[in-house]
Amino acid sequence: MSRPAGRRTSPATGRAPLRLVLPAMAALALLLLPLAGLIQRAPWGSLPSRLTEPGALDALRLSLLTASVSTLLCLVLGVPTAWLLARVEFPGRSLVRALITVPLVLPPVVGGVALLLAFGRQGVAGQWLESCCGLTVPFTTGAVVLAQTFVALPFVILSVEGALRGTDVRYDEAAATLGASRWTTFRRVTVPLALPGIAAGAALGWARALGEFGATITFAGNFPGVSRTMPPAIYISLREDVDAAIVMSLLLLAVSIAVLAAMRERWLAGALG
Amino acid sequence: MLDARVVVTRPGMTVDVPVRARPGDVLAVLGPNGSGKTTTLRAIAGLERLVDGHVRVGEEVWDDPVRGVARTSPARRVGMVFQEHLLFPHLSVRENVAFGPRSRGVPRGAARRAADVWLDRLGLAELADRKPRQLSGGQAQRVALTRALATDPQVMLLDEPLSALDAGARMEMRGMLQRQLREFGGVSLLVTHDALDALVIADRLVVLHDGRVAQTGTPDEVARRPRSAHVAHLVGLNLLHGSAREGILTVDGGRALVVTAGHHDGRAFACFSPSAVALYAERPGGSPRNVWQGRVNSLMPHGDGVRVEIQGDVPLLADVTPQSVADLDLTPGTPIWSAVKATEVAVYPE
Repeated sequence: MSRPAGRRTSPATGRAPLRLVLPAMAALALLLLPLAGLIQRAPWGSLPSRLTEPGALDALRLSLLTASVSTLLCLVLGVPTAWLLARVEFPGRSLVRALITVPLVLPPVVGGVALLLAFGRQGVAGQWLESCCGLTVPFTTGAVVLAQTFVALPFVILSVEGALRGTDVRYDEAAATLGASRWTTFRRVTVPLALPGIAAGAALGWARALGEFGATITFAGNFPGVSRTMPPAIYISLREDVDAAIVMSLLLLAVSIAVLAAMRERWLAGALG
Repeated sequence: MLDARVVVTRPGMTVDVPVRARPGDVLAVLGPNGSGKTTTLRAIAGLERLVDGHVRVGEEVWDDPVRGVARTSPARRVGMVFQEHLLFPHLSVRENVAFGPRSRGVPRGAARRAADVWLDRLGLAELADRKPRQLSGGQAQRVALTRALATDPQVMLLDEPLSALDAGARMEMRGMLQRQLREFGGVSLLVTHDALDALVIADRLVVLHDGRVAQTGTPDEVARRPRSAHVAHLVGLNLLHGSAREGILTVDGGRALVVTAGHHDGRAFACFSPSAVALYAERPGGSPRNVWQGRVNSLMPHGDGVRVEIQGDVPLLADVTPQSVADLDLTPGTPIWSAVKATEVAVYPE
């Protein structure tokens, strides 16, 4: 929480070498040039009317809703998992951690296919859901949430585990000697101390869910109002109306930056105040 | 009543420490680093697993691995104060003190009122709304003590509560510990590195060495007749160990002889103050006394004088005046003769 002291290099260590500065500048250019292109090509004149087009707004609303629900789901499932990985010695712990990272490196389209096979009519989970509750998951808004959760959950678990490992176990011990059960300690000590890290994990998961494309389109399809979130909507409109695609892209960019900035302010304030 | 025998295996050693104390007793646990002091405390708190032995408090069995009993820490009524205060940084002082009662099921409002009563009792009422980072080190450690007392423990465990404090805060905290532990009706165990803390606060000392009890007794007994180099060093005395016969003690290693005033035959300790050691550039003659050859190892200011650490026939501490440091031109490495009068040496059986 405290800033590391002496972030600036002393004059004695000399100039930053060019062979390090140049690649860094290239990286910056690579990251920022496409965004600049987007802004430069934007049809600023017709922007207000295009922004209020029902298709764009529907997709944005669906994106924000599903990404937020997915993030919530990631926290509900991910924080306990991260706690177990960080605090409890159990056999096969490193195997579990390795399995959790698999979806992280899996191409999202493959994840979508896997989800379809598991939750489809013929799938193990799909058959069971249909027979017990009459639920069909694929090609619904629920499928969008499931797909986003599938790709975002590993990010959340790993970053929250890191945050929990970063909190001092001696606070847990102090709480135990004061009579707190492990649950009370988790709730009143561990989570509050790891909150900045948990918020960072949630932000990461939210951004990942918001940008989800491959798994969503494979598992949930591309139906307006049901499963057409911003990324598939942008992709579709790029073929018909480039200006519309640019406007929606800008919209997604603006919303992401606004939400991340707001969160950053909040956890910075939380950490300092 | 605390009746414990703490047996814990650590890498490279086994701690085996019996501790018995009556309610109201304050025991200081002393010993060099790695002698098992903190491990003993943590085992009584339930933070370290016993492999053998037991921990019983009154009628309750807290730990008994042979019978398969091992209460968790929350199920033991201990109050623990750590070297770093470990106040929860996100909670106010009041909430920190109320944490114990609340964890044991006291409703929020009642727990806060109880916290205020405790804070008032220890003179910390005006700090109640502060966050831990707004406290000085001494204030934080006093709040930590309050937080431990507020759980109404049967055993207080204090793990070097003073060692992270500066001199002023340490003195204040020492006085507070002395008062509060005296009023506290249960058993207190205080781990410390500081002889003064042990002598002022405790009514019994337990000295550990390599996971075993090396000596136990009242502060006065231990300070006057130390039985380990560590304790002798803590109380600032020279201690030699060897075999005594007819007033002569052959120090282990065989080289040096101590002419003693006491009469005791067999294994014995010889103890004398650094101020009894006189230093000479040349071998001194005259009355029969102990004379050793050595070299100055280090010089440290000590009170009005200088404490000289000498390596040689026997390791010695000598207290001399700054004048003699100048006269003898003492620096690390200077060859030196040391002498001690026989009448200054106390000898007691092992």
